[in-house]
Amino acid sequence: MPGQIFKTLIAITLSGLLFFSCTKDKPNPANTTLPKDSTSRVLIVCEGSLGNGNSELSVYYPGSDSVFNDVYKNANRQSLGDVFQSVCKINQQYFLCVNNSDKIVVLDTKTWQQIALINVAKPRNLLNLGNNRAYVGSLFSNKISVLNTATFTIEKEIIMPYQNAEGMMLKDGMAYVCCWDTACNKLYQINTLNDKITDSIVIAGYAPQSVILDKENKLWVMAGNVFKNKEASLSRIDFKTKKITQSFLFSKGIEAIKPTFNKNADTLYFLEVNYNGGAMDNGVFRMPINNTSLPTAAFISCLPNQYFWGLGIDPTSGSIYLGDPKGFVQKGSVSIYNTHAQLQQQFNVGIGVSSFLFD
Amino acid sequence: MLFILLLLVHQDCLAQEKKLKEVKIKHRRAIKKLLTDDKINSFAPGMKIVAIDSQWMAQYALQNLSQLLSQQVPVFVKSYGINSMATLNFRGSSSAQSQVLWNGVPLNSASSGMTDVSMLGVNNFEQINIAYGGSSALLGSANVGAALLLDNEFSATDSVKKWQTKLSTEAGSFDQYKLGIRQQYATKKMFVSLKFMQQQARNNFEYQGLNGQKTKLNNAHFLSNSTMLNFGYLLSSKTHLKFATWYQEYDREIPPALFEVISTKQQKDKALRFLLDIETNIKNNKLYAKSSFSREEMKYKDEAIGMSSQNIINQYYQEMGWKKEINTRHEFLLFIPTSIAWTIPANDSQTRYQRRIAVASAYRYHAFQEKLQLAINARAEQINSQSIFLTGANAAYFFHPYFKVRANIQSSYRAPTLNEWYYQPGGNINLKPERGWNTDAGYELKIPIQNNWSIQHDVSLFHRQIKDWIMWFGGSIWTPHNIAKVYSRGLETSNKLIFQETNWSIYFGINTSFVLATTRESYLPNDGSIGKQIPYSPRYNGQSNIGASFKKISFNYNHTYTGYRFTTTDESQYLQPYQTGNFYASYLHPIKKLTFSIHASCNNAWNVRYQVVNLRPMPGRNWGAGLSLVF
Repeated sequence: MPGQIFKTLIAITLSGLLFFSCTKDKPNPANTTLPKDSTSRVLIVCEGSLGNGNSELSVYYPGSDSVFNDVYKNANRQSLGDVFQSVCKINQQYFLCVNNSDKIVVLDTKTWQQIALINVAKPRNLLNLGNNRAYVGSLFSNKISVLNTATFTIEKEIIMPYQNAEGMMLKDGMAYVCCWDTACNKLYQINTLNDKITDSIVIAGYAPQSVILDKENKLWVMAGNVFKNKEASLSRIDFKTKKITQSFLFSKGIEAIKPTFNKNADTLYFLEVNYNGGAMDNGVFRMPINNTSLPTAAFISCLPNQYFWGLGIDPTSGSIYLGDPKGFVQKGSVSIYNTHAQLQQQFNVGIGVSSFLFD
Repeated sequence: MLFILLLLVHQDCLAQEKKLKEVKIKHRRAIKKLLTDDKINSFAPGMKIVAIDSQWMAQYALQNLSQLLSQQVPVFVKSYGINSMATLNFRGSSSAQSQVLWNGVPLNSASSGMTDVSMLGVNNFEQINIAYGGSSALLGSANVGAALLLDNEFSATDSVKKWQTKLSTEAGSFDQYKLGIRQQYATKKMFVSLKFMQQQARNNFEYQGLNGQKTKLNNAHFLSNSTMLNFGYLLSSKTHLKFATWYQEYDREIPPALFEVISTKQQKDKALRFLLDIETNIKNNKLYAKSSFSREEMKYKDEAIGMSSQNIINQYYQEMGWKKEINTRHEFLLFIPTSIAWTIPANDSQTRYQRRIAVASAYRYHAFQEKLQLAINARAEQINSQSIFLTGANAAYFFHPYFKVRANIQSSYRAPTLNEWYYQPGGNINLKPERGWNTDAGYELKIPIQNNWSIQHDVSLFHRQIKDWIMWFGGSIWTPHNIAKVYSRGLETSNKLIFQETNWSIYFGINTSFVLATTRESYLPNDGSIGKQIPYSPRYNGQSNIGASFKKISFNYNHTYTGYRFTTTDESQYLQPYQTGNFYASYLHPIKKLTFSIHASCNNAWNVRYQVVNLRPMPGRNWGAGLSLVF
């Protein structure tokens, strides 16, 4: 009997040893160094995955080819929040809209320390109006908040005809606002002096999401919500007559997003996204502003089971920055291409890389 | 290898059998029978079955399965925080790969594939078992990591009185109130049991926000009711009719995650289930037919963003089978399970269906007074337009009444769910079923030592490869994809030392689990997950209990450890390990025909701040006290 007990104890001990010795459990610590150089850098918005509170701010220095991840957390010892939507630089401060955490975080551009926290429901984008004023668009709301960027307070709210003020642009004292609502087919003009809606411009489709200006002073509005059966469209609008000069309708089911211009503002770049893993209608597309039809082939194609979620063009070098979120379940990657679609550089950033601020 | 070993042992024993024919002693091996599932009872001798013993059934009677399992069983219960769902991860499986069966009928949602174990009260069941390792040929889709078997009593046992009533109640911290009522009537022919359970809580516990500030949890009220009727009737000495109906409603506020300022989210769930089962024994044949229908409704509302949704899922399941005992050594089972599930997915105008029909069979051979038990099985199944064939084998050998070795090899699968195919936006109709092979082997020692001491020791090694593993990818639009291959392997141990005297007993038990579940191949370009542990699958997990009882007083201390959980597929983000300690004490006092007991508990006694899922705070130290009456 003692032999039996002894054997049993050996078996238990061996099992215990296996438990404790198989694999190191503690992960390697992340690099917590903060970027110090304040010249020529690219802020990379990593929105994270919805509901997981894992958004990050990454910073890339093209000159030294160095990248810093999780900058906000490393500087402030707390997570940034859920769905980091956009970043905007005003008065030597960065304003970070963290959509699903209902806040705008204000950071010092040198130390990355948080200066202020502004509570705004579901903030998406911020439009700097100058004179310490900015508009903040919100998701699921028909209000635009007017933010005092010196006191960090909301001074008033503008009621819009539709929900989801999304893309905004400032030109000659007028703000042009897209309401990303499937019932909306207009671009709204707001006089920034009195914050009143002064005009609206009918666009080619529904659910406008982005507005940008080309070198011929024409407005480009991208619209659509493929999952709510609103086909993607592009409208080119004469800034003076406020009439559509050219419109483009995408084929049914195509998700077109994130329009941006090259540094001369004469070629439009945008992303087409195929969520189902196919390579069709998936990648970066580009077209000269005077094209009469949409491009049929991708300028930079995605591989199967890949799509791009971030697109930015360096206004100085003209380099094309592309964000691959890799399913939003791991670190995303940024690829930098030249204007001939040749890959120049590639590095890993945070989760869900979605946009870039070239500072 | 183990199969070869078993065959060699078998040959050796055949020779011995010839020599020792005159001293052959016939007795059945001590395998605990499940109440309702004959497939596991007869055709899974090589599977590891863990039964929740009566001590834990009584201690956790007014709790949910999530508390019971996370504290007593080698499983990772992924709790999304207070009032949110809790799902199971057995041996590195996904929550949809962990099957839950109620009296042999699948409970997994046809829509999401998951079972929320936070909605299942322990009081509802008479027997809870876990069948580790996959046996999809026997149990069907989703039986990859393990199957949680929840069974009810449908016939009187000798110990059951004609009328029996049990009343239990408990109150605790954060305005927790629980009530359980069980009324039972039993005769030789008939058995009726009616169970009611109510739980409510405000859950306004204090937690630390991201900025270090202490805040009380808001929007965390919870109310649940569950009523179950079980009816069994012997139509003749050989024919048994069983009927059950079960209604549940859950009304819960979903509190803010740490990244949210406020939450106005609310969820209401309702489920109504019916089960009818008839079985008859004719000589050496057993014929059975069971059918069940369930309707589950989920309403979700978030006033802050003006969002509301409603989802209704209907599921009909039917199974007919024939078991034949060919002679004393051979048994055969043929059964035909069919199911149809339908729903109108969110943002869809069309009713979507999933139809499944399968033909499955199993064969069992046992010899040497049941020392050797071998079983093989096979299943062909059609899921809408996809077809699948599965097979497997398992075996056990008792070298000694106290020492058993077992081995199991099975092909496993999980069919895509209605949400994975049709959810709008994001559903992917091109998804293929997850498929792979499960192997596991282990041994079990139950040794009495000297007069009063005994040791129980169980070790299991497992190994599983699943290809076309389904994972949801996305930011704003989530889409499920098949992601090539996931390789899981690991070791589980269960150890218990018991000392028992006439008036008192002491015990010490420890369960350990080591799981490596890594992505081996991926269809994603430049995927950083290759070779990395899958999210929310701790490599190390363990529970221990130390307790004693003296006459009518008993005491238990439970300690759990949960290791690092990665929250991303590339191991770039993770959660810290945590340990919790839980005390429980009870006093039982019989007064004539009435048994009276009181109990008190302290959960998370060391007041540990922890999160099971990222940024969802869990409660600190909390107390509970209650009483129960049986008469």
